[in-house]
Amino acid sequence: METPIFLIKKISRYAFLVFAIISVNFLLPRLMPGDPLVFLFGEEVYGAAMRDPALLNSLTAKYGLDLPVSEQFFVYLQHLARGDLGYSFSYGRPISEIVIERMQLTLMMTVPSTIFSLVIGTALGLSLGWEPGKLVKRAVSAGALLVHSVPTYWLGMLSITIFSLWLGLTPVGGAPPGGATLQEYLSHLALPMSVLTLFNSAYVAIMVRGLTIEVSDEPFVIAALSKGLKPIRFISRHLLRPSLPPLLSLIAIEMGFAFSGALLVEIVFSWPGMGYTMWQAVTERDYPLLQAAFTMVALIVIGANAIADALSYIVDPRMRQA
Amino acid sequence: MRFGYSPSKVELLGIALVSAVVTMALFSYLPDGLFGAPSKSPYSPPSLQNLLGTNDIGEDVFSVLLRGSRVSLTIGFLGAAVSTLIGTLIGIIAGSSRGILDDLLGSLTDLFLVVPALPLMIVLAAYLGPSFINVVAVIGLLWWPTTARLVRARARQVTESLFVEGLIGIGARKLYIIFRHILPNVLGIVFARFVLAVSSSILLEAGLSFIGLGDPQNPSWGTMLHFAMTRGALLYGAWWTFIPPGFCISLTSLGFILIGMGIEHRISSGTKSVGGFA
Amino acid sequence: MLLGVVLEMNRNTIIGLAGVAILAVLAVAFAASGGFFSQSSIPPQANNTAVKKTLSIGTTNIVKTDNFVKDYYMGIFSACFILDPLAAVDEGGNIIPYLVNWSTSDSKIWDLTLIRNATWHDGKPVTAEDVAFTITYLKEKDPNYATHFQFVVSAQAVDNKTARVVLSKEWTSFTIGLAATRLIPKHIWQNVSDPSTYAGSDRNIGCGPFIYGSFDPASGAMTFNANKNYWRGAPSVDQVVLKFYTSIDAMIIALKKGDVAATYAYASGIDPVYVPPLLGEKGISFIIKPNFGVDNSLWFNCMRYPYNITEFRHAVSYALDYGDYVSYIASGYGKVPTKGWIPDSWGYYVEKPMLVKNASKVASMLDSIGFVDFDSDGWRDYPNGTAFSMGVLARSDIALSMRLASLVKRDLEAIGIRVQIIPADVSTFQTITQRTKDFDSAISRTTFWGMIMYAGAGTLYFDNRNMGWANVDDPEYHTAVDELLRTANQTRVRELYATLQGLYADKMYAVPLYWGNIIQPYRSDMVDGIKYDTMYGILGKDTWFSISVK
Repeated sequence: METPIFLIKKISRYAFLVFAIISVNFLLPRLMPGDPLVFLFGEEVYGAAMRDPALLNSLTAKYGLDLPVSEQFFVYLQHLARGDLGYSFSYGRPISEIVIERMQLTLMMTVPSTIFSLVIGTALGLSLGWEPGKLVKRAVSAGALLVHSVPTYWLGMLSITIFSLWLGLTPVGGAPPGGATLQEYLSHLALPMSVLTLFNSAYVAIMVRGLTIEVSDEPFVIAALSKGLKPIRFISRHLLRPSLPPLLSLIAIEMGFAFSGALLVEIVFSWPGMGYTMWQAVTERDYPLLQAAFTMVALIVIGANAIADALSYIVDPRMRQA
Repeated sequence: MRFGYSPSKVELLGIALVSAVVTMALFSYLPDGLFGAPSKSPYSPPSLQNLLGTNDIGEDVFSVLLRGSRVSLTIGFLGAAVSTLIGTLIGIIAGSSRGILDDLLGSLTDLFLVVPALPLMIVLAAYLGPSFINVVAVIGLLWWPTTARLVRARARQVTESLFVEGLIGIGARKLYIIFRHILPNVLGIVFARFVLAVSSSILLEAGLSFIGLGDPQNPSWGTMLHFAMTRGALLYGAWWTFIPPGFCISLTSLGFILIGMGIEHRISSGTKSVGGFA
Repeated sequence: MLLGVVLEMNRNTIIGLAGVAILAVLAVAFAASGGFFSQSSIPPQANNTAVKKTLSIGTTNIVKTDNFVKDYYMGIFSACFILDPLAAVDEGGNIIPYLVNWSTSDSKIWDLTLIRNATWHDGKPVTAEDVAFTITYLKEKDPNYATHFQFVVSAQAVDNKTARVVLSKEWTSFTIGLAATRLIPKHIWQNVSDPSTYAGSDRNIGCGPFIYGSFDPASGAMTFNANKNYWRGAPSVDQVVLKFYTSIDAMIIALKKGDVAATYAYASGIDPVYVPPLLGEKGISFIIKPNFGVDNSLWFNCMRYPYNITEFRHAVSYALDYGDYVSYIASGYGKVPTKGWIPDSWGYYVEKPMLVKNASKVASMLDSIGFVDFDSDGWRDYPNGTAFSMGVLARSDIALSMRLASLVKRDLEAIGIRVQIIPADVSTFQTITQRTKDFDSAISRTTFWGMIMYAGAGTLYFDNRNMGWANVDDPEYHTAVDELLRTANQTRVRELYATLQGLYADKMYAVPLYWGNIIQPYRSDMVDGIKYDTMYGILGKDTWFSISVK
């Protein structure tokens, strides 16, 4: 009978998270300084509206900004439930369209990079955590730490200087034109993806190394080793498997990182994904777009966490008593 | 494993890196123009007059770098202090209580752990306006959950130990338990988290400044990268304007991580349970 | 040694490192193949004769939606390509006829006569109905035109060629509105109640030299195809492709590589800091024109203490090192301004003494009005002894503006005035300067368009009854502006402009920081015959009939 209560608790916690994030997303943009009207009407129109109260009123009414905040929130929830993310004033089109378009660009960069970095990072981390005292391994670990300390956007600037400006191998930034070939996409993605992968691999490797060191101290590991198990078999069976639940939550955190961490990389490479869009929306005070982009990213991160939770629940029965 | 209190090689390296940056910050108090006068044209390459060349408005890059170290370090320490303080408070309260309060604080911690921090920081930094205090506040308000989680776990462990349960049984007051038993036990974690948080704060401040949300009154290393990126330094090939600040950010952050890891290692070899989170 | 290292690694280390290596190789391989591909995608020049002549222009003025009422930059580009204005602006800043000529006897009733044989892109003829409709429709629906047509009472077609506009009062500046007006077809827009959200496929039909082609917001490209039936004849290029760049660096590289033949930025050229890296490039030439706007000025809030003290404003002007602004911000492509704020590029410019830095003069001026360092902390204080600090509002989204602000800060702090830079993105900047007026001083540029609006000579930016960044409520200034708004007599207008220039010099409501040039780079090995238009730069209408794509 313990299990359902545990599940209900978990589920209600996620529900609370979702509601909290939706509310935070609604409130934060409205608390920011500066007048959103400038971006509803454009610079020149704003000047005119400031001198003409009638014009100002009609425009405010048109965009529903004259309603009390509580009503604005209610309207926002209703629309959200319908999957209607609203209308972007600065882009002049439905936000769902923009979000889908930008999300694809972000996924194009983050999904392969996440997979690569998990594979590379896990393999590297396992080996570094096994007999961690060796000089080479300590050097590689230190290297991974160093890479993790380097700001991604700086790596981006360096790689642009070397690969785009000096060697002329890759475009300086931006997305390729519509209908571009796979090759064109790859040439645009090569640098940002490599930078992101390098950074995330280092992070995963550091984490997995820690987990491995910890697991190898467990009594059952020592027992297994004393039975004379071969290292490679041992690693896959006794190190990887017990590390799986924490590894899964690591993947979830990875997804979160990949999404929000890609932001700075996207800005350096002018890659018009979610992070770049969010940044633009902040500077342009495009409330609806900012809300939607932020909500989507947060929901994806929560979703990834929930899935990881569920998977660790299935994989590791011990979790059920937690 | 442990050899008294002598620092390990890892910690030594960390201490060396951090001392180098502190020295830089101290040097920045020397009079202006000591390290190089402004040039009359933008982006002059490194020379005897300007060891690291000059930037887009003719400032000596080396002097700017020194002044930047002061800003990055200060914000790093203050941001870390605020976030560690909040994290410790919430962690101890949650860990030493049960039921709704623990659940509520747990959910709050979960919420902040899950919310993508960087975008939220950008929103907040834009909301509060770019100033020194605000950057510290933004980092402090958003970077506490990991600390809270670790402290809570440790506090919970202490609270549930037979000894403390016995104390509660004979009617010991909560504050007494917190100050006498929980606080001393979490101090190690708190200190390790603080040092690691300095590293994170420095990186976050640099990130915010890089996208132009830093404090214009106090240009930091991130600000240097911001203007290198937006004022054509890449096209000029003016590597001297963006290689040094990037190096400084990376090595400083590495220095604090190494020290923090060293401390964490000491604690975890004594108390096993915390290791899983570290 | 190396062998030992390899032996010490176990299989997983090798897998991990191999993964990194493979990734690196893949990245470089993709990059190289992509680079190769993009090079080979440029068709060889020799076989190019039968191919249509396409001109590619790079810009950082990004269009987000292709509705010209809604999107600011779409408005600019549609005015360059698909729409025609009623009137044009010549090199001297005078309004000249384009689609219509005008006549008026009392500056109240205006007859606009179509003088060109224009047709819409869908084949229908352009009539006086369209002219009358455009004026009434835009006045009602497009807030952009609220000021241009503020005195319009009615606009009606008199016959097929002539529309009559009745104003509520005499107004000589009505023609400026005509130059701002892009003629739109009545048969398309008459049933559209909200033009800013209209998405019909005919939304971009105009009577201009190009027919709207396509827009791909994801990749950032927009195409326009030549209108063979344009009243001036077919343009000399068959197609124009606008490529939108999110970073200036990327756009400059594209220019260097020949992916675009020119760059474009509305009302400004390229940021001068990017000129030196382009100077050595073969095939890249520059058009350099004087800027009719003032590149950047320090605007005082003239209704706030102590910036309402003329002496104080003058003192600040003596503290600034103008040569620095010219060399760092304008990269040498500019000059030190004179005290009169109207720049020498204008025909009605009246010469005033050059602005100079004079530290001892600043000191004596500030001392005389009581701004002395009372507590000897190195900073000057208010006359009552409290600490003084001057806020400088600057645009955080424009790197040049922030850099200029730090130079101004350096100069002012050198003479003991403590400065606080207040960064604001575009919306905050507009709110503060136009609505709340909660600022000490601000740094911003002006455009040609802004210079001729309102009573001209930059009055839009000064008069507190209009946009009024400088918040000037000087009765003398108001009198001159009011007379300018009424008078049609050109001699009197010149006299009044001279009066304004005198006031600008004596009162120093704003300090011009440097007078820059507009620098327009283009690839002379790809195009020739580019004309420069005062309002739209290289994308003015004349370019399309003189340009040749190589």
